[in-house]
Amino acid sequence: MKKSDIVISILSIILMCAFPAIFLYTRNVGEAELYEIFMPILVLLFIAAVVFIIIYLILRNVVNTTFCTLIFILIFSNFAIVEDIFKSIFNNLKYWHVLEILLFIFINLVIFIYKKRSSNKLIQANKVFCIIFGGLIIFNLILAIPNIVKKLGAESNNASIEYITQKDEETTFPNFYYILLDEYSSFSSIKKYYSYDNSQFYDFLKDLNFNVSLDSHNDSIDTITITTNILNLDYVISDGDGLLHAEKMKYRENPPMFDLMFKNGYEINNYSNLVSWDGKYGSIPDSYDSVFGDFMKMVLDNTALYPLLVAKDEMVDRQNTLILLDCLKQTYESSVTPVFTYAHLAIPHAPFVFDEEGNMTNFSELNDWKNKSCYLGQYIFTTNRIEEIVRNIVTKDPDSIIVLQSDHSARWTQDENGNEIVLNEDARSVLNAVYYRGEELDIDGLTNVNTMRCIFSRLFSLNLPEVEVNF
Amino acid sequence: MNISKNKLIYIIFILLFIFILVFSNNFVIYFTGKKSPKEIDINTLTFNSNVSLAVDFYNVYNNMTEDVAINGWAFCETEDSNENKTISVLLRGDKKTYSVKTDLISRNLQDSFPDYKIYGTNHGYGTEFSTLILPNGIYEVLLYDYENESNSGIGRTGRKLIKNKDGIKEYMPQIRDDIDIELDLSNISSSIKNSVSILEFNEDEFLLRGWAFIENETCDLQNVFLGIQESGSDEIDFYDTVSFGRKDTADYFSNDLYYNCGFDTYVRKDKLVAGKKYNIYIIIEKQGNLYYGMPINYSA
Repeated sequence: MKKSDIVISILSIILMCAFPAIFLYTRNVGEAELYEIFMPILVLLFIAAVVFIIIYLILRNVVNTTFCTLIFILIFSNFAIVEDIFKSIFNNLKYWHVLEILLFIFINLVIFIYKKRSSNKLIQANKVFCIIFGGLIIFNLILAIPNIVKKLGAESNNASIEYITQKDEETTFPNFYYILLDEYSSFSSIKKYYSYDNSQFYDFLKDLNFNVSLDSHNDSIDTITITTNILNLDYVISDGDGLLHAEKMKYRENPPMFDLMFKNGYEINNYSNLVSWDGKYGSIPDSYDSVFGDFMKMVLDNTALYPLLVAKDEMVDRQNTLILLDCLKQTYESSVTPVFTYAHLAIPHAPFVFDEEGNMTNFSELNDWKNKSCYLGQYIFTTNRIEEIVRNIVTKDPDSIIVLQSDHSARWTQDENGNEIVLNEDARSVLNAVYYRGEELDIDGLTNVNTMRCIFSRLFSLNLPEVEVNF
Repeated sequence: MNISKNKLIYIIFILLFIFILVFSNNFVIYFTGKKSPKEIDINTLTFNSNVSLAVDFYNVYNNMTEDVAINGWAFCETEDSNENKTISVLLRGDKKTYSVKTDLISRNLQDSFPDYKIYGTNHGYGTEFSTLILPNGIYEVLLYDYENESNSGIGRTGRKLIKNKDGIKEYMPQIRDDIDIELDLSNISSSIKNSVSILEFNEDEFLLRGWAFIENETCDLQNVFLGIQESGSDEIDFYDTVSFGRKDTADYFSNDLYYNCGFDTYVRKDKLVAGKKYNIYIIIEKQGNLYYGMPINYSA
């Protein structure tokens, strides 16, 4: 056997194991980090090595063993797709049936190759695999180069907007609690698409002297776009601007909202890991790290390992949300310096891990937009917990400012046939409620950004007129 | 016949593969330690009492082992000892019925129901089981409460499950194009008593709730269907229902046989349009026989 055949054999295995992660990375350059591809590749390489050793003990031939290993990895890394094909033909098959059938076919392949013993054609087959996967990797990397370069060149865009604050020595500013509820539907949207009357929550807010806008819309349904603009107190980015996720994230480093608060003597209490202040991204104290991470999960979701993933990361999200909800019970009425709390709660956004009572939901319905009770349960849970939180703040810290906003309403609600039914305008309508020291504040119809400008104008005696936005 | 050793091993390998493939659901249930329903003949059970019941928790997990969890309380009135009491969940399909024994939990119900003859405290039940072995179909979830030799009965929970290629999930009663009912108006029986109320359920649907029974016959295992026909039209839409206990009806007619006569179904609002007139037929199915009640005239 030539040395080059062995090299090609090994190389073909490495390329096949690397392809799924590299492919996903090149498709998600803006969101994913390069280091994230290594763990999925190592997992696949480890499995390939184990399979290779077992088969080599039977076949005693590197080329033939490589061919069998390649077939194994090809099926293993695309198991979910193969399983769907089997299930579409035989309705009653389960995961383990497909696994067993594929193993049976694979063992027969190994037996067949063992009997044939010849490896001439398989050398060619391994070369073809090597060329195909090598070519696919290079092709995808070339396509991704512009985005990779753009990402590497992205620089901090923290606007140095100078807001002149009319603050004298004796002015004391109130504590400021900003709470963003991700995908919390507006009063009209939840009524229209879920037949749920949330007027009890409206009445609750009004009773606490909240100013509530029933007709607020944002310019986008993308969380990063919306919240980046809120943090910048202006429409600095938009959906159609062609910016990568990583470039948008640069606008979230020391954003003007935090800067303005800091310059006015506020202590920054940042619970969001999507915003950085003073070189540090925010975090939830004592929170849990995800088990797999989004990227690893994306790669492994297609493999035969997917049942092992269960909902471990979703459970971590659930746990961290509960911790953050507890953190928001903390009030700062006794603080010497005013405190600015920024919290971005990832509920009622999917995964749906809370039912109405806060219990864990059905694992199979974590992203089920067809079954309306999934989103609605998490929505009602969110409402109940937010009621507790704001009641607590208003009671203990009545001179404070509380902003309750959502970035967008439920977007992916489906009818019984699985068709998405939410109109863009309805998805852009949002919860927008402000408690301003118990005082009235006219925020009717304002976007989230203009609501914040309105609040800061009043609070810091600034002249921040409404900014225009194209819907 | 001379079979080589290798061929023999290969034949055994194939047979083993087929064996594991055929029984893999059973292996999964065994290795995961899940409970699994056993097929029973429902006609061998004794029903001589009405079951008062509640379902406190009910969840259908569309997970890999297609689990269902249920708990609550159930009892039949009895004055005799019920130390051997059992409560089983019955899954009653079109052709077969399956049973899962539940775990009994102490629940003292006497304080809540002072007028009932309740013996002891073994009235809470709870179980979680896999539905992997169930064939595809629609299953009614029943409770079979055995207190003692004198008192046992079927309780209808008002819930159904549907098992299909997508797994198991809760079944909501609905319009059925696939049920084979030919409305035989010459066979309408005055011995069928019924009532139906049409209630606003949500923006899209009405809830049709009512009761139906055949005089002097038990409602324990009857199935109720509704036929809705617009006046002047030949077309009838048929709906299946879920059944549940109606003590109020049994009390009103002073006949315990009618206890399980309640039913619910859901009708889309475009099927009962305001300003139009409809005939609503109540059809009772018992042991394969259909019984038709007098049509109810309804103006939407």
